[in-house]
Amino acid sequence: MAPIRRFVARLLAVIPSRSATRDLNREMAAHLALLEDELQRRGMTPEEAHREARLRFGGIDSAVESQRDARSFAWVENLIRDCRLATRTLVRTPVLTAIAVITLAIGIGANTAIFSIVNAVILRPLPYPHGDRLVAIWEAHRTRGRSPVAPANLVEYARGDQSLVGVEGYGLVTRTLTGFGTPEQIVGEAVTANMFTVRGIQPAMGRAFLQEEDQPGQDHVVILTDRFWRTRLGGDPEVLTRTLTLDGLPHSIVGVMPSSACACSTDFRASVDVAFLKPAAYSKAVLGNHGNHVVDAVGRLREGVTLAQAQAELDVIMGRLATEHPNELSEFAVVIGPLQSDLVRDVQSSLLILLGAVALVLLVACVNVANLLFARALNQQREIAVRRALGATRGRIIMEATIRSLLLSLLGGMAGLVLGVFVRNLLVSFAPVSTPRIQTVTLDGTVLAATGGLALMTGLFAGMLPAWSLSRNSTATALRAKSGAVTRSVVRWRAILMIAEVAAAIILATGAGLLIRSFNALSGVDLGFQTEKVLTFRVPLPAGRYPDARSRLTFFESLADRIGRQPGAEAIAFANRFPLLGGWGGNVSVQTPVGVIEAPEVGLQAVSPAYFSVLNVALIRGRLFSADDREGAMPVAVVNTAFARTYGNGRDPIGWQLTRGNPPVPSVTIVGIVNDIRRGGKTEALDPQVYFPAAQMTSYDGDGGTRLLDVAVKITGNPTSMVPVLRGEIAALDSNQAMTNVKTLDDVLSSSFADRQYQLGLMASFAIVAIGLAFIGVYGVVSYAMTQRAHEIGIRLALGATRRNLVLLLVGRGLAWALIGVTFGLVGALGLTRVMKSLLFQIEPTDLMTLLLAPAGVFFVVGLACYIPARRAARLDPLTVLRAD
Amino acid sequence: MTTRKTGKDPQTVELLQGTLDLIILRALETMGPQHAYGLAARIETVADHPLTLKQGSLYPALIRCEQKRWIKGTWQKTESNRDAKYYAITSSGRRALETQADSWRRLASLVEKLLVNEG
Repeated sequence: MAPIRRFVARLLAVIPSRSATRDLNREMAAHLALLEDELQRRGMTPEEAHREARLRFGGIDSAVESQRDARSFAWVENLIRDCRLATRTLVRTPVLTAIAVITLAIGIGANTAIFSIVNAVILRPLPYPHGDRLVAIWEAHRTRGRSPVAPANLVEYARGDQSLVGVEGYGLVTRTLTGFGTPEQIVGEAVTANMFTVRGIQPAMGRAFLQEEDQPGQDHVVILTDRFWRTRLGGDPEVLTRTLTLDGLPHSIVGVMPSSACACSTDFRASVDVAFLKPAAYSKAVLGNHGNHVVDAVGRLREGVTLAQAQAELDVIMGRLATEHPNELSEFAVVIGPLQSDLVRDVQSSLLILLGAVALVLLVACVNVANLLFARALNQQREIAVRRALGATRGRIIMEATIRSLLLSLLGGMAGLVLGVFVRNLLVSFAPVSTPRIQTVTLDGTVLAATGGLALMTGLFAGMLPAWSLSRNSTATALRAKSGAVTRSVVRWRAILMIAEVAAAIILATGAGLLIRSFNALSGVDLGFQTEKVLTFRVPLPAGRYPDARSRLTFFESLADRIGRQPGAEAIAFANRFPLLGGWGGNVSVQTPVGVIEAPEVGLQAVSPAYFSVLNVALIRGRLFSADDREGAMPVAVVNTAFARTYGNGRDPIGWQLTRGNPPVPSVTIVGIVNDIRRGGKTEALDPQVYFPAAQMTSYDGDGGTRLLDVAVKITGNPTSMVPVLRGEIAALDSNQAMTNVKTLDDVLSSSFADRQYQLGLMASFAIVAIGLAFIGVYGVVSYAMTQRAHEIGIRLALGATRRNLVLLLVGRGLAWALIGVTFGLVGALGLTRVMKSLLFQIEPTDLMTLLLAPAGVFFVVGLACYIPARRAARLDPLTVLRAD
Repeated sequence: MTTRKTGKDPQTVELLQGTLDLIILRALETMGPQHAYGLAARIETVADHPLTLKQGSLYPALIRCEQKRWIKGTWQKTESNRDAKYYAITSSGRRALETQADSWRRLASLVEKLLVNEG
């Protein structure tokens, strides 16, 4: 019992108990009085007695102190006192504290922002049970690489069920929704009926799709997403009795998705607002075409099955399919990979590189704060020495420095968190829409823990380094030293910090430089067509009202006719897809004079005659399409120079014939050669292209990939004023018809750079912040060194040193450190920027120009940071300086 | 014993941890209730030297003993009519004194033996 009682008594004694202290003081006062009485009785004067009594009593304060040590946990009181002292020190130097906190906040905030994105996009598990067993499946061409899966093959993969629970195909579809006010275009996802099994979830309401509903004609059923159900149907509990009119046909609502999951396209990829899911219901034609790579596929591994086993099973299936369909599949392999990492494959490296970049920013920030605290610690040296001489232990002094660092961490961390959330919101709103799961970025426990840990680490590092380095000095040295005098160990540490800072800034500058160079290279690429003043939009004609290619052609021709009469429209063209907006491809057989050549995977587009003039694609030889190239006339085609070069073997292909399909469609004759274009954007190759007249679609494939969809108008005025006119013309033709994806080609083009611009913007900002911090840091260190050397400078000036030589002398050491930093930075940049290879375009990570300019730039800035204080110091009046001490 | 700490008067005795407790308990047992000054004066008389002990250093020991309930302090008037806190030994204090004195004697005789033999 006794130890417990004592413990409680001590614990209570921590609370500064005034009465106990007062009691003790009173007791000691009585003690002294009695002692004085006695001494006076022995013949001392009252003054002598007073003095002698205190002498015999010993230190009154140390008696109180030791009684308190005996009564309580001294360290708790010490802690409270140290906290108070630390707070006071921080408050006493508000500017320095503010700079330290802001610097830490910048570093921590940037890291919080990037990490919260990395956390949501890469680290957080998929919203499905055992999401680690979900695999992505794709088909890879021997030379062209990855493509989606052909539904015909998907069905076969799903049959090989030794290793996979199921294979789900999914893809986005758009439908016109009517019955909810004005007709509108909504996005849905077409999925195979096994989707709930594969994803491992249940509908929140209703049921999954039935196998028999996953067939053409039976598929007029939908499952709503939670969001659509709540926002558009008001969360109607009777929703399962209702129908949705899509493309003019009623669809029964058979279920509602759980709120945790949505469509694959939303859960996995960009923030598409998917409203409903419908059965994929692949048609017989689709299921008969093994070369039609159009759907995304996801599978679920059976328990205990490895990726390699599943891959082996799929390889066998693909092997069999390739023998059965050599034309379509001989060049293809099937590949599976873990879904989670597959989804982020495009953004993973760029995000991790950005995370590395902000870590470097944090390093620079941390070094700066350490340097600041070094300066303060130097000024405190004498104070600390006095305290040590008066009996403070080294532990107490380091403890106080630690607490001060922790307080800084706390302040820096909190400010960093606030800044981080702000920066994160900025980053999320500017993020390219292609970033998967970017909308799920939140401030969760992981992010908070990371921020806290980071704040603690940086604060402790920055605060402890000076305290540790200085507390090694002997008391005597410190007492003798001038306040703020610099010891050798301090000089060495500050040199190391400066070198680290310069090196980190150079690595960041090099990274940003490489991205800038890439971006320049990209801007210089010629697309082969013009995007200026071209407004595009999509008119998705529903199969219900426009059942065949002919009715669709009629619609588009009348639309073009009507719009062409508008004053703002200079030219108008329509096609299946315009460049940058997608496209279609396949294989054709070229009948050359020396025999038939198979041309696999060429671009195949159906275009109206004005296509080439709207996009300004130049004719090289032969002729373009005219209004007479219609059904009944000779079927014709135009190819590009890449096609002529690849398949012409030096001969002019005009007059040759093309066929495609099985059974083959009627031959079409090549009548012209046009300039090459980069269909997919600036990073794409100049691929062989074949253009067919939209009005002759029956001679090739009017119902498949070349289904007419896009319209492009070359406009003279501004696009926004043109849009209502266009909408009016569409409504005049068909009041139920929606118009979607209204964009200028320029906008499409710039959004195709969005991810590069984003990376470049971030990397450049980080580099600028790091260089700025490096400037401030070096400037601070050098200015401080100058005030330390003021005396020496005064003597040198008095002895006749020229100011010019003096500046050189003073700048010399800083520049020498900076040069070491440059060396380390270059080595680091060469090592680290290699990981950026995937982000670069036509630029090697070892790009000479960047590796010269970036370090030179940083060196210049750092040099300036050395020069300015040195020049100021050299202008001092020697007399003033020498008199000052 | 030439350590760093001995820059003091060679007459000053460095007390072993806990011995002051023993001294206080013993003094209170033989003298009856006593205030801190009385205790200090008593120790000085016994030691024949005024500077044996800084009088203030009694206080940690007094507080320690009071926390252990070995002694109990009450405010009373001295003969010279001053307020002073008088400490009296408690029954648990007497028991503690017995065991402490016992172990002290054993320790002292051991040290003594060692000093004689090794000397």
